[in-house]
Parts: sequence; structure tokens; C-alpha cells
Amino acid sequence: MERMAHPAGGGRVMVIGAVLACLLILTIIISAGMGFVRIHPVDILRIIASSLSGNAEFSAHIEKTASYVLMDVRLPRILTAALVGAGLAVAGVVYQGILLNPLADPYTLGISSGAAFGASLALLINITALGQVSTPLFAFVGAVATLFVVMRLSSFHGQISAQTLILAGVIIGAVLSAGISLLKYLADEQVGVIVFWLMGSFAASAWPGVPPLAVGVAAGAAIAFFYGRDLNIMSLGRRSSDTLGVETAKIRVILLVTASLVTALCVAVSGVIGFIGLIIPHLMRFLVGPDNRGLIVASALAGAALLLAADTITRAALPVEVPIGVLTALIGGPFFALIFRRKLKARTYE
Amino acid sequence: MNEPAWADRRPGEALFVVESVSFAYEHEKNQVLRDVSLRLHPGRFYGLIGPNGCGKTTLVDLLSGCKEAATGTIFLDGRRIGAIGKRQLARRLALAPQEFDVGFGFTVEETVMMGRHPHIGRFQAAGPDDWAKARAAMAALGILDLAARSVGSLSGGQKQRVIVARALAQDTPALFLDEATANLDVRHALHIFNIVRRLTKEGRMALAVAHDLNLAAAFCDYLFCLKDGRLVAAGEPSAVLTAEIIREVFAAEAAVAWNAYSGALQVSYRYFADNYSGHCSGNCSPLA
Repeated sequence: MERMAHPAGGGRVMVIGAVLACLLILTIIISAGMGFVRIHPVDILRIIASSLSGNAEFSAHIEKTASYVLMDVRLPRILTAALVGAGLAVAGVVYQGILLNPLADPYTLGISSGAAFGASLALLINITALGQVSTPLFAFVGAVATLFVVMRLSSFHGQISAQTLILAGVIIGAVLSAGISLLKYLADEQVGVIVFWLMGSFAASAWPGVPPLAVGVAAGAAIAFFYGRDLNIMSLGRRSSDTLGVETAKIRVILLVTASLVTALCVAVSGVIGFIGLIIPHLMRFLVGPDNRGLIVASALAGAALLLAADTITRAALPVEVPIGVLTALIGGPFFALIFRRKLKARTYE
Repeated sequence: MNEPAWADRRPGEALFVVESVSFAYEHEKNQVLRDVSLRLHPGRFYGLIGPNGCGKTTLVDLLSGCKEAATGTIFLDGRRIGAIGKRQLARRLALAPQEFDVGFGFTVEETVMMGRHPHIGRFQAAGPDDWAKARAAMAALGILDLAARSVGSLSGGQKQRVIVARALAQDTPALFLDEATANLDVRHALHIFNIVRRLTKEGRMALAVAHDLNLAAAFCDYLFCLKDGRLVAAGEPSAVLTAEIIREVFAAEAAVAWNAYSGALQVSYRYFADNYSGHCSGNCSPLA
């Protein structure tokens, strides 16, 4: 009965989570039907059911083209977009929590610059030795190497503080940005490929990329959720969290590496897509409150739905495909500014 | 070991035993604490006094396990404090720091409930007992009506009371207050010291870092006085708060006398330097 008096009770968070989950499923179905070949929602469910069960009867009367377009072209792209959206949003929550900074996002520590540098390098010297995966692989390695350098640079006496992390991230990010500019300059005529990759796209998404991404994002979200309550307490600062039984130093490193690996994975498959990792945690904080456990679940669902919706708009609704990273910033920026102003006026946001 | 005469020794009873502890920040020559030894017993309210930068906060950090001593050992209930897990430690001691971050808009109730963290299993939800203790702590500090407010929207004094309530909700045998009343007005400071005093009468140990010597004199059973990282005096307030020690440690002129109205020792400072120095003739402006 005491719990009933609790303003941000678990019930409210559960309801919002359920609504967001329904919204995500709805977005997936709508998105799957949109495009050059229009597919009816009922047919979508039939095609998916038949391929899941291996029973062709469900989709016997549906055209083979529709089936092919859905299963081999749209679905991998849809799942990739949703998973990247979820991954970036969760990473954003974690970064904001450990850096004690509401302005932090998955790219604050220069992870994206590292990935972009790796990808640019692969594109420039046209590495095809590993086939299709060479660019994502280089991007991932670049991101992880950046994380390693940033962490080395910001740890003193075995301690990593939020300020030194941000500072190290900004420094490394600036150096890498210069490096990318150099690669672009050297690329000459090939510069378009690099520029296009940097702006982010799901156009090249295919089935082989989905399982590693799904496993990575799911594991990352699970780890973040596991340490959610510790992350709440870490917002009080080091001295308080230490004396509240939180292994602050250890958990900070675990969460930092987790969020960074998820970010690296996302950037490797899709390029640099901004704003999702910044906006979604904030929007969800308005909805479900600051408790990181609810925040991680809500952000994962909302991030998935929002990035998928944005990708569907650029893929099927616009006359030309606008790079997804540009679209998220163009829509997300003003939207965020609007909500931010409202909340500041209401003075409920600190 | 060669302990000074004031060392409070009753073997077997102490909650904390600090044995010749020193501390220096890495790559720095200056030792923040030098060869400090002391014992803290249950049921007592200790005051830690000394000028700014004398190592009070560092000592509290060592006692609460936030920092590790370079040399020397600290025992809690007979176990080396470094060998006790953070969670176990948080069930034995609570710290009310002077400042804490209040990012992300947690409410007063959520923040006070964080005090229950070490008592709630990772896959458990807070139980009725946890809620009861958090609400009791909020009631004791008079912040029940602020329960749903975001901590960031509170005044400095209200925040400070949230910090103390959070530490009380932790319900530990040892309580450390690091200038937890620094931002509070007289009424609330007295209120908190009274609460802590009552808790020590129930058998808990409390140690407060205090700048207000009069509060320390009135409420604490026992004072430790640090200067330049050394323990220079320890004992009952009447033994520590003497004009000589205050001059020696704080470089301030003071008279100490029993005050019948407050029912405690009263430290009166000589506020105006020219009352006694007399060597300022003509232009006395500090900026001249």
C-alpha cells in the first residue's frame, strides 16, 4: 500500500513499455508493406508465418515477388534499422548515466569517429579481401581501438572520471576527424563513397548482418539493465555510490565497454546516425522518469521504432532516398528543441 | 606501540580501530594524513574538527572505504576494511557527504530509497520494510511533503536534509557526516544534530566533521582535532576545546566557558583584530 503512493510506480512504466512494444510491432508491419511493391498487412503476416513454420500453405495465393521482396529485401533492412535504433538509444542512456551528463550520446567519446576513420580507410584503399564485410569490420576495429585509446588516456591511478573521459573523447575525436578529412582529400574521385557511408544508410543491409547485431544489442541491453539500479545510484556521485555498496569504478568500466561495443556494432553496420542516442533517452526520461531500468527498456523500444520509421520515410515515402543520418538530425533536432523548451518552461527538468 | 596519553583504548569494544594510518595522493609528496591512530566505539557521537585542508574529509573517506590508506590499517569489527566488500560495508556504515550530484531529476523519495540499495537484492524489489525506513527517515528530517519533488529543484538546505535522510534510511551501525549541516540554518542544523545524538544514544556510532565548534562542543561526546594531517588533540570537548588548542590549531583567539543558557561549553571568538593588536595607526584599510 506504501507502494501505491510512489509517483513513478512500476505499473506506469509497464504500461508505457507495453504501448511502445505495440508501437514497434505496428511500425514494423507498416514499414514492411510500404515501398515500390505494396504488400497488404495480412499478407505480410502470412508470408512471415509461412517462412517461420516452413509451411507454404499460408502464403500459397500470394505472389512470389511479394514474398521475395519482403523476406530478402525489406525484412533484413527493417530489423537492422530497428536493432541499430535500439542499440544507439540504450548506449545513449548508459553514456548519459556514467558520464553524469545529459548532453552525452553514443558518439561523445569519439567512438563514431574511430568507426568512420576505419571505414573511410577501408573504402579508400578499396579493401575487398574480406568481401562485403570489410568496411563494417574496419569500422568496428576503428571504434574499438578508439575506445581503448580514450580509456587509456583518461585513466589516472586506475580511476576513470567522467570529466577526463569526455575530454579524452573530444581530443581523440578531433584528431580522427582531421584524419577522416585527410582520407577524403586523398580519395579524390572516390570521396563520394566515403561521404555517403559517413551519413549513414541501411540500403546495404542483408541477412548475414542481422544475427551478430541482434546478439550484440540484446546482450548490451541486458547488461545495462542488470546494472540499472547501480547506474541510478552512481548519479549521486562517487563518494555516495561507493558508500551505498556500488562497486563504482568496476561497474563504470563494465558499462562503458558495453555501451561502446554496442555503439561500435551499430556504427559498423549503418554508418554514423546521429541524434537517436541523444533524443530518445531524453524523451523517455520525460515519459518514464529517471530510473535507468525503465529507461533502458523504453529507450530500446522507442529507439527501434523511431529509427525504423525514419528509415521507412526515406526508403518509401520520399521521392529520393535521403541519407538516414541527415534525416534523423533534420527531424530530431527541431523536435527535441521544442520539447526541451516546453519542459524548461514547466521547470520539471533539471 | 607508542600511543599518546589521550588515546582512547578499551580493547575489544571498538567498532573502528585506526592504526597509524597515513595517506598521500599519488605523485604528491605532501602527506594528507600522517600516522593517525584512533578508536571509535558504538554509542558515541564523535566530532572531527580542524582547519580547512587538515585531512578531515580524507580521514572520513578512509573510514568509509572510499579511499585506501597508503600505510597503516583500519579495522571495522575486527576485519580489515579493505577486505570487506562494498555491499557489506554499506550495511555497516553510511556517509552523508557535503555535496552530491543530483542529475536526471530523481525525486526526493527515490533518492532516499537509494539508501536501501545495500539491503535489497539485485533481483528483488523494495519491500514494505524498505519503504517504511525510507519514510521514517524522511519524516525525521521533515521532508515528507517534498517526497514527490525533484531533488534538483530544492533549495540548498532542503537538499542537505535529503542527503542526511538518505544516510539514515541506510540504517547502519555507523554514520559519518561530512559537514552535512554546512548549508543549513540554525534550526535545521540543531535538528539534525539532535537526531544523530538520539541515534547514538540507541547504540550507534556517529562521527561528524564539524566547522562549528560550538555545535561540536554541545553535541559530541568526544572530539578529534586534526592539524596538517596529524591528530593533535583528542578527548572530551572540555579537554580539546581550550583557548590554547584553538589558538594553536585554528590560529584564532578564543575564550571557552561553560554557558548555563545553552547547557554546553561555549567558544567565543575575538572577532576584531584591532581589539588587541593596536599596531594599526592612521590608515587601517586592508586595501591600502
